[in-house]
Amino acid sequence: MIRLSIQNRQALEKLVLPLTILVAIATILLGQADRKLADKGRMLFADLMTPFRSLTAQPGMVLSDAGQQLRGAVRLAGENAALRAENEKLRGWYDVALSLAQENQTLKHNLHWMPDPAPSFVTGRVVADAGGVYGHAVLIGAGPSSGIRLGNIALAADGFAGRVTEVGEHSARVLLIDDVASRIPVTMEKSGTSAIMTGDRSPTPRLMYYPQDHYPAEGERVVTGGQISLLPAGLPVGTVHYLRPGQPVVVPYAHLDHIRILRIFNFGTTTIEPPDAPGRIPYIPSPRTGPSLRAGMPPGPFAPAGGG
Amino acid sequence: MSGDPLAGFRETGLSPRPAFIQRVDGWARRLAPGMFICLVVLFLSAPTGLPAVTALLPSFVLASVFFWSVWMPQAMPPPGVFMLGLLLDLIGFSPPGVSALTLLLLHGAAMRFRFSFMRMSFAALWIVFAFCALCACLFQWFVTSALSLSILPLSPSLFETLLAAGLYPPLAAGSIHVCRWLSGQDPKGRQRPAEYVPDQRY
Repeated sequence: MIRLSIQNRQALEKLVLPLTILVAIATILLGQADRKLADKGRMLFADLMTPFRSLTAQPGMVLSDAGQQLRGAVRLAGENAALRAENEKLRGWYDVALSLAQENQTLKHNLHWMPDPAPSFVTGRVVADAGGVYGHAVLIGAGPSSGIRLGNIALAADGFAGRVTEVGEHSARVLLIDDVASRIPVTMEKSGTSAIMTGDRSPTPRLMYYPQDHYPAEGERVVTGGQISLLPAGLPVGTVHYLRPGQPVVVPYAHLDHIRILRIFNFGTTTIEPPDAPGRIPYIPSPRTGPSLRAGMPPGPFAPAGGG
Repeated sequence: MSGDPLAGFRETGLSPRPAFIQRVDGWARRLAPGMFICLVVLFLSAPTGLPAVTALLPSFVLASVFFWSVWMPQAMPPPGVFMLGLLLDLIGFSPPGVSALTLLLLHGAAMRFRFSFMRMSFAALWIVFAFCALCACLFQWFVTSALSLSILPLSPSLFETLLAAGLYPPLAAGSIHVCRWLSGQDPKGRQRPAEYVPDQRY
């Protein structure tokens, strides 16, 4: 060890803080200049932490489970009555669902309906709640080896939760819909209005860019719109609620603060690739059309060779 | 006569080279708060089912760094603060270095005015911390907004400030005991007599 005089040591100690601040600024600049490097560093850290987190998650889950059981035990009688009432109601709905499913199947059969391809999915445990002041994401303890790809859709038990934005070796990051960077095209089920659901790190993401003559209605169901690739239409997201006039938000079905298990769906490309076509209507010559009608037309790419 | 047999040497700036076990003990005392904060952050980042736990993490680190920078800066050296900030950034997927820079500036401010802070009453220091936390959160909001080239909502930052201010009193109450224990004082803040008491008769 180098032995320094007291003066030198004190001078060095004074320099440590400014130097560390410079290192922090350099880190910020490096992270901005090379985002891929920053992302790689984060996923590497997440991968390294995954086994440790699975360990630490266990006692936390045991604790919260115990708390839930305790709460359940206190309100046992009331909860039982509520469950019995709900069960009866659900039995009624079950019959309705059965008959509707049967009817749906018959109708589809009669219409020669082309069925959607069944999506493949994996289910993963959430190992870390990677949230900050602005961001909100979770890490799943499963990687590409289990079939998770970039852009896959994450569904919680109750509804749409987010999208896979980074994939590491043993973990994947799911950007939740309340993250400030999240923008999801949605459709209101009843009014048919389209909008963009924008996360703002509050429990209720905002609805933006809806047509001014076609407002979302209070309480209607919000489902995903099929405008972007990898996200199919019709996944349940939540219900519309007006915080104040002119500010509709979505109350998500998924409990974004208590996500334990996520299903990651690979829907493949859901947008239909249009066939190569120029932006004009092809001219199909009909036997009755005389050459006089086509005199003023420019020769388009679809004009038959030697025609005109 | 004070109980410390080395007091005379310490006053002149001279001290005998500490034994290996003493050095390990000193390092352990210096690293303990940082390691504890680190472990708490890692534990809270695992899904525990606690409400608002993601907002709790930065507030907890903010309050801890301020407390230790004021009361025991040798336990919270700048590289340690930097690592804590980087850990927060890596866990929270925020732009790397932003939390580190914010925490370092907070640490610098706390160190600069530490002697006036230590003379303050608890309530006054609490208000000072709330102000510092507000500045830190606004600074973080500004840097994150500038880096993402968009104006981010301000409400999460204000929520974080409130959470940090609310978290400070219980955290300080717990940490002050640990701080006294680590710096070798008894719970009332008096210097504990050294283990070796020389025989007074000679």
